[in-house]
Amino acid sequence: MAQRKRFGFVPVVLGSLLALWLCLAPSAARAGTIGFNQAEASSSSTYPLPTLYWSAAVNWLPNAPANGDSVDLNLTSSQTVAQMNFDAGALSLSNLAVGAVGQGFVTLTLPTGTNLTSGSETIGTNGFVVQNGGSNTVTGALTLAANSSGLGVEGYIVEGGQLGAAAIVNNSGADLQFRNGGTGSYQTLTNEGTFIVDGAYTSYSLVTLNNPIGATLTNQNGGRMFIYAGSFGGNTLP
Amino acid sequence: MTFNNSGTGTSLLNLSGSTLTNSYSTLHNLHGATLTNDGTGTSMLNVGQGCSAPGCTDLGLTNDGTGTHLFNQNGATLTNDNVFLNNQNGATLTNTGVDTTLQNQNYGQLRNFSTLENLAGATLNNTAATLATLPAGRSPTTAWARPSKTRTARPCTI
Repeated sequence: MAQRKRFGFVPVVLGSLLALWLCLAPSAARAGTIGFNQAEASSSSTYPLPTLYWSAAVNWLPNAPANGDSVDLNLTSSQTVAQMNFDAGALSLSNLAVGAVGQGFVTLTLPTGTNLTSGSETIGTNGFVVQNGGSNTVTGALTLAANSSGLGVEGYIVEGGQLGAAAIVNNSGADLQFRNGGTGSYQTLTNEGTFIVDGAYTSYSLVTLNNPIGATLTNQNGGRMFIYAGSFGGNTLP
Repeated sequence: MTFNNSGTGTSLLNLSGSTLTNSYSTLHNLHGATLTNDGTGTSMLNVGQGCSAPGCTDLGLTNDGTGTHLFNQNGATLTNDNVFLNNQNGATLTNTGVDTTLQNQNYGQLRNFSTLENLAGATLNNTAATLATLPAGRSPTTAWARPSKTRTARPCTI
């Protein structure tokens, strides 16, 4: 009897742990990997291409991305395309991957007024990001053309807002562009692809981009960097 | 378009067969920053179109300030074509190494008000362009002016 009293707390403790697990389990599931719902992609022959919205749960499996998630915006079927508009306001992800296989193509648009934060971002083959405003902050590395195949079209265009990353790696075959007012912050920027800093030539030196103080910008291994002033005087990119 | 590489510890490196083109724009290397053009096959092109409009004089590449350094080295080529290349206010422009070339051409204006080093077999060519070396402390105040006469290439190897 004394022994039963001595261990009588065991079922209570186990029950409490079970209850605690049941409470926490849904949260753990939310901070998982969210994949693009391939059924929402369009045929590559579709024109005009419909815009998909990030906040629409139907575009994702198993659910729309939430804070802490790792998001896989990769098209897995060739001949499909998608144009995703980030309309989630402020969102903090652990990781974001964008790309497509074969003849597929996917574009992610970051509009004004939105704030996306990620631990890392990878823009792979046939993936493109267009930032029109807001902020995209990568606490780790932003990697463009991670596979370095050079066969696809992958890149990132900043036309407004702020792109910040601890490291930006623009591999061979990829395009990174800052155009007409977008700004960048980084500790290192390594370019082996094409890096274009482009300001419309409506006035001399109208648009300014700074290599952040203390940062290292390295253009290497056949990389091409252009500081360019629109189409002034018939000027064209070499 | 203006691109600023500014501040001690800030570096812009153009290496290993890469190309950096400053076209009809302004590239500032300022306040102790380093701009390095390095290696055989590596090319830096500073190109524009001579003009007299207000503000146009800022076009080109400006290396400015004590501790600021522009290196063209180890077989790389730096071409200044029809635009300004200013070296001023205590900055240093170093052109060094066999097969390294600093080419000032086609009405380009290389204006040195500071330290310009041509070392270790490097070549400095001035072709149909202006190479002005003025006392330190002077600032480039002269407006764009095409050279009154065409100069032939005069390789300068030290």
